[in-house]
Amino acid sequence: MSTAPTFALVGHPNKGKSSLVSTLARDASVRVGPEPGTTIQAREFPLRIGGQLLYTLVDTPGFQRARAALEWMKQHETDAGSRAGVVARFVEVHAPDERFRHECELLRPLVAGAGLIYVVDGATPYGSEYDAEMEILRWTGQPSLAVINPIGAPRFVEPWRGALEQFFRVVRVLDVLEAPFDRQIDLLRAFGQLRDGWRDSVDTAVVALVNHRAQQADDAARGIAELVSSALTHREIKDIGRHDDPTHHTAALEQDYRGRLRQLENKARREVEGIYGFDDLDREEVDMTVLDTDLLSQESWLVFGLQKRDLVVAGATGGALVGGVVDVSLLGASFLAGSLVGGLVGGALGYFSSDRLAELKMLNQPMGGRRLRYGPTRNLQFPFVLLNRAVLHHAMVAGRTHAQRGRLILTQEGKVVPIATQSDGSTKQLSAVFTRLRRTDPGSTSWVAALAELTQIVADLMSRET
Amino acid sequence: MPSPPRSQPEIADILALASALEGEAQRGSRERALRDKRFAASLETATGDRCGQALAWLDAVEADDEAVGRLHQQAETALHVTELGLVALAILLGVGATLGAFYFDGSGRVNAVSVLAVLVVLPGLFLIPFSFAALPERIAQRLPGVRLAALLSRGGGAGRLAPLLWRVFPRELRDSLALLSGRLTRHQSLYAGLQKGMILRWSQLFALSFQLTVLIACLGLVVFSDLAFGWSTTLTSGDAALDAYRVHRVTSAIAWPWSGVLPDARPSLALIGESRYFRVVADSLSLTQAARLGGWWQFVVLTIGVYGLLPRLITLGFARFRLRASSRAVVSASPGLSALLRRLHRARVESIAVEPEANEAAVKTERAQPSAMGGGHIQVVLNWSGVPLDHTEITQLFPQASIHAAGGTATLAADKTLVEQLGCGTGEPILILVKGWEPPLMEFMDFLASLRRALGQPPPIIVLPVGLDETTGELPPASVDQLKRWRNKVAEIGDPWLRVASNLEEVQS
Repeated sequence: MSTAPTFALVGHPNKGKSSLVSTLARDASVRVGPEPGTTIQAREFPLRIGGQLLYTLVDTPGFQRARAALEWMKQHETDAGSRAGVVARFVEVHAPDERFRHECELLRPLVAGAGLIYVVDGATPYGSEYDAEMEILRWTGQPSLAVINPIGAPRFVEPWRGALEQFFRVVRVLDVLEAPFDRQIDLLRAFGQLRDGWRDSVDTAVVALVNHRAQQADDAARGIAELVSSALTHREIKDIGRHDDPTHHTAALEQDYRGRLRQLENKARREVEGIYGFDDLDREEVDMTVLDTDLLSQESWLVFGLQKRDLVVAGATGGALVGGVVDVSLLGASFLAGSLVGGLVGGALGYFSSDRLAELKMLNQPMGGRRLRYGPTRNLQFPFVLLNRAVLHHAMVAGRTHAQRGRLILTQEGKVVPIATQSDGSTKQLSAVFTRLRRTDPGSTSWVAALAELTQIVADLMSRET
Repeated sequence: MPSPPRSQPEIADILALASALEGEAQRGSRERALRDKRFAASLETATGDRCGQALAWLDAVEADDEAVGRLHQQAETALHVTELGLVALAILLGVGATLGAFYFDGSGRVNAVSVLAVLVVLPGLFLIPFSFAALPERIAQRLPGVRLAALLSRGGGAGRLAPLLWRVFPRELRDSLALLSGRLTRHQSLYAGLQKGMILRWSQLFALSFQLTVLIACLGLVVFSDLAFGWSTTLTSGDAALDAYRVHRVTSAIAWPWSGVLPDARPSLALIGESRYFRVVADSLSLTQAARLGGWWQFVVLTIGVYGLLPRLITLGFARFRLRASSRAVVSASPGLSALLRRLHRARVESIAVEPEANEAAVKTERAQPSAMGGGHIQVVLNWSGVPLDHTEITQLFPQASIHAAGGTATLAADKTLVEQLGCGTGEPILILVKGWEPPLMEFMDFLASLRRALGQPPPIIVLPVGLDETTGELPPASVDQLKRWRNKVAEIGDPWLRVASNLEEVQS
């Protein structure tokens, strides 16, 4: 029967053990820092899927007095076969000894049978001071794997590989801070291959994590689709008296309307961050560069909006869709004139569309008085801007590992290219869905279908971006 | 044995789910997190079926929260009783209509045309408003007059009897349904489709029950009474044979669907000719004649079955299909469901540390300000742990100094011997070259402490972290961060004659 394995991440201080744990366990609360000895106590990160324990990662402090520890062990070694026992005895004997506190903390899980994951920095050279600790780790006799984590330019990866291959059967290179999900999963699979009895458990975990990742993307796509739907149908309403001057309320209504759209976008962003476990992302530290521009600013619309040509396509598609309903209603007697006229009108509207976000309407109330209504938006550009911003934000969050601290920087300028303007038909498809969302009641079967379709399109766009 | 996962919600599920989701919003985040963790364990997440996941969660909540479970049961009972009430009303109406249509006082014949008009044609006319009401909203909106007709149809449908029935329900059932009415009113845009689907379904259930009752009652009358059917008309052509022929054409057309299988169920021309009667000629029938005129019964029964019952079976199936689609749509769009599912999906995978990270106990550090010590002439240079500079390079930099290696591959005993040897020195400053990119370890701190003990105070000890950037000279300086790290650590020793230099100039100064 397969048991849940434990993997202890060990090594020199400040080589990224905690960062690797933070990334693999998706726990941004792990303390990582340049000061040596940031980790002072072994800390367990059990992976449970549906309550079932599948494996445990253990973050450990780094070696501080490896030579002294090895010297003690050598003094107590009787033969090569007794080495694992000597290491266990070292831990037992020195448990109360403050001098070997770090060594005891890091060796304890290995003595208890944990797999050994040795982490080094591929940006700094191999040195003789590592020999003692690698020797001690070899003495433990535990299945082992080395991870070269370049904390900076990977100048010394190959020399490290050469050195490590003398001590470890498997050597992997992984930039822990930037490691994409697939690479993380590959590394986990390698953990499972260290011992036959561990494979099933780790493979189960890998499948569950991959499914979970897909679920996260689905949830995020749904959240973004709901954001777009809410923003497209939002309206601000104010009832005024028969003799009130509506112009007195226009500015306030418009301001409320715009404020609400921004709120919706912010809420959706928090949700996406929450889905990926970044609830405590420090907003002040996070630099979203282009995403920091206001949703409704000209700069944002220039970056994320559609080109004129695409606006015409979007308008024509929406218009044709509306006209098509008329054709269907007339059982084809119109000979598709509805779609044709709708498409032409829509295209023209797209070409001549103004930057105006929404219109103010005044409606007479049956019981007297009047109702002012600002929105919903009919602007063709707006949903594309909103969607492009949301998808880009998702790409940044989904691509961030939990080991990263501080600023989130968008490095690939190419990602700013508005997704929906790529010539793959998504503009037309999106435009049609936006039109349907605008024209259906929330909760109706048509609305649910349109939302599901938008969710699928968003998921496709997101998978292209991440 | 656990029940298989459901993916199709019933109306009672929707009510209970809405109530449970509203309850979630009232819970504290900690309580909610604990519940999520428990419920997420049994949640099937890979399906992507929001509805199924919502129902699985609801089942778990009901097992946990008695109030939600009770509400669900009450709503279920109330809806069943509503349907039973509608069926009972339809049965009463069906029996009444059948007895009325087949009214026979023994002095004449049962007019087959009247029977079919009352029991098939008249109820069949209600299919027209049903067609309007069943039209999708977006099509109804665009066809002139259809929306109004649909509204009127729904307003006049038998499903509207349901709220009347609720008035006689016990209070607890009424309360559970009040939630339904309340939600329908408060969330009109969300529940409009559901409401429409429910009315359609109840209307068709009523109609189907009516037609079924008519059919059964008709068969009952056939079996337990002596029916003699006939037909009569004022619009005669004057030629009895021609009249009979015309009626025969009509009955043949009606009987077309089954005439191939049951030819006897189509009245023959002879039977039709014989069946005509005139009220003013009150002829009494012989036993043989009466028995022959009863031959219509198969035609009457099959007409009711095929033209009355069968369409209602189809419309009920359609209404049921629409209601199921609406129910799924409503569940899928339930306020708060997306947030709930996000939480559950997240809670299903637990990977973060269970225990909080330990804080370092306040280590007593003796930070001391380094004395204003000059480097003087460096007489001893120690290469700690194999800084990658060869002996010649160091000699060129410090021609008068003796060069030693410590740490790294050297044994502790060798380090100790070296310390003892240096303790007998001249009191000139000692420079220790260290790898700036490596963190200062405790074994280096131990070495510094033992060196100080051997030297006494004050021969100055200068630690020079060396960097990796070979382009910056023979002794590349460490980065600012590396220097800071070394300075902080070395300062913990609290030795005023110990300092960290950033470059050669600082060593000499």
